Amino acid sequence: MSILSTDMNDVINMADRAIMEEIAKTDDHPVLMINQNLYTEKADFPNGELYKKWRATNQKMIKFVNAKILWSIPVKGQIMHNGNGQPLSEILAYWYPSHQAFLDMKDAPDLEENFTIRKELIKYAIIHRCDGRNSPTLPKS
Amino acid sequence: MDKRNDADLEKMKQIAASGNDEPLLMLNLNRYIVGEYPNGENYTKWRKVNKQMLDTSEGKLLFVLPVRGQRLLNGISEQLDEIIGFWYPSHQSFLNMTSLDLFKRNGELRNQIIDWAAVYRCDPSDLAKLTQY
Repeated sequence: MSILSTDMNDVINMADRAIMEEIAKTDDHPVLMINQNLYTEKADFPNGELYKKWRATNQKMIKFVNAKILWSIPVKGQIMHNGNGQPLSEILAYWYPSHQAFLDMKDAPDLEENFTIRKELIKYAIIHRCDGRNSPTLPKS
Repeated sequence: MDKRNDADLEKMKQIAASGNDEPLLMLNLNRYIVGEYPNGENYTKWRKVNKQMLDTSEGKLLFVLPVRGQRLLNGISEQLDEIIGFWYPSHQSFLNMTSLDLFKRNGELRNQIIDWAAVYRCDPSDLAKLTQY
């Protein structure tokens, strides 16, 4: 299923927020948020001032709830697609110790600045919610 | 049906032949046909053949992440069922895999189960930061 955010700004999925609130009350556990981002030209990823400013602000915001960035992976190309292809600049994995921790981020002092910068930084984005108890690990060899 | 990006394939061949070939991370973002994921017959077959294909090549399955929901969107956003990370020691090792019969079989099975998908070629240099919690 495809969903269109018509104003091309970040849109919070309130239905998913309700699911997270329920999990936080009943069976809370770590959550992993996979962020797929396509940056604007103004962002000048990965060395632009705007991008660096966002990463610094974003880091402070997630630290407020003891979250961590597990990895940030630059995307070099798209070898295959099935359906409409979507170019990306970067994929980041954010780990939160609980769903409640993620929800508590609404009180982070840097939250507003984070989203203000994103308005100039993000051309396309989606955040997928995954189970944080199954965080990616290194290959054995 | 899966569509190969020939321009990207050509870039991979250039990297493989450059003398500076390097490891490769392929991130697979998949949404499956209703009824296939996670216990459908063809999905189960695909995962089995996919494992055989990796075992026969130099690739490794790094992680499989079931997707539970979409928290935020900005633009046209494709919902997903699963994110899978595959690691290869070099671009050439990936290209070698594409000549296997199992690669063809893998693709045939994918075309029976995929509703939407994208495979991103990524720089794995940040993989050292992967941590077990």
